[in-house]
Amino acid sequence: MFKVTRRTTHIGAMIAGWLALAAFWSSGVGQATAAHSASRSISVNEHAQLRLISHHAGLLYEQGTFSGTPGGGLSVQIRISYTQASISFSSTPSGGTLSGSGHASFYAEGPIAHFEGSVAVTHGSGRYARASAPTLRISGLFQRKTYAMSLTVLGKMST
Amino acid sequence: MTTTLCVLLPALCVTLTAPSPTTAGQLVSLKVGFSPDRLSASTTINVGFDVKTPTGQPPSPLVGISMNMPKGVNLSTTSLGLAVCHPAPLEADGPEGCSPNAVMGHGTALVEVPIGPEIIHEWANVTILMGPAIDHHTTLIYYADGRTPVSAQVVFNGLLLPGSGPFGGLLNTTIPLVPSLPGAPDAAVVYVRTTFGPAGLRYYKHQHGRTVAYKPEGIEVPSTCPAGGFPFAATFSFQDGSNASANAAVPCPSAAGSARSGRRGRR
Repeated sequence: MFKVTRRTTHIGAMIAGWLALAAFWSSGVGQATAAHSASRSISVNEHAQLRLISHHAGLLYEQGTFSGTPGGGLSVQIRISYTQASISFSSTPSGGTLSGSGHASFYAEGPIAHFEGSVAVTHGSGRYARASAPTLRISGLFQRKTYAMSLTVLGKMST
Repeated sequence: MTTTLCVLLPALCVTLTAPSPTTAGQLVSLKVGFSPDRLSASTTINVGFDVKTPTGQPPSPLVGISMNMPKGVNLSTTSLGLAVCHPAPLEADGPEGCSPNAVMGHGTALVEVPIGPEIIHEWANVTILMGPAIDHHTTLIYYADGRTPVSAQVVFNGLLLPGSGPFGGLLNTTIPLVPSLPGAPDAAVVYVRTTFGPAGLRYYKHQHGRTVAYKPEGIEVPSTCPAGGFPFAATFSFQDGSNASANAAVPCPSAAGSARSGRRGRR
């Protein structure tokens, strides 16, 4: 019984390993690993609706979901000072993570605040481990009463 | 030389600067304060200035002010100015022509006009409102209303621009010349006191089918105070082409005041 159990475990581990390897090769990560020079460029075209998680001393922390390419969950921190906003973000597209930072100009007009600038992807993991996007355009607005935010990110990213 | 006065009100500290002479003889002094003056507090900024001449005669009319404001004082994330006031209804009907939710502050101004050997004084009420953005800049719109002896209503803008050095923002205000009486010089501003913040303001919102009044949030004071206090600096431009500068700082709150304030957390 003990041996059977051990064999079952062994076979199970092998199957799991094959499945993991198959998944690895079917993903962009495997392809990227096999051919380092075969990076591909994707058009980033993301729209997100975010809600306020916390707000203190000009620092807004918001979370939401990207709809677009590559999509996924999104967390954004925006530190606002008069006319400038510094932005850091992390997102969780399928198969990996992306994070980065950037700057934007900022102004308020009645109930709405606007920002517009650029962000760069500075770190990725999983299928985005080799992601590079030095300049993505970011623009958005938020309700000054509730801090409900919508933003758009556009540009090219190589993976 | 700077003199700090913290005796006017328990919660209001004001810093005065020594007058700064200009080439044409205008002397300006700047006065700033937070009310309340506590770290991390939601506050109202008090800003004022005086313009004099060594001779006691009215100064050259003021045509512009560039006001540098300290880093970390979060003007942009307040809930002040939740509505936009456009110049046309403001000029037609005064502040009543705009939503009360556009009002961001109040103040008073004193102007002088020399008429022959006499100097006529006129007080004006000042209302500061959120205006429509100009060239993607947050824009404040000022309404100055003088009644006697000359009825004059003046609307002008201040644009919020990036600051540099110890300053986070620059409020750049252009002031129009105000004609006085036929044959007399334009009116010259000699005294201004304004509040920028929730003190004395009342906003309205719809809640459960009713209109409810509330006090808007103020400007958030940083949780730490720079050495020497929160710095302000202003450059004043006059009709005669001269400029004058003045500095002031809101003193760092006492330790007891800071301890009382605590930190603002998640809303």
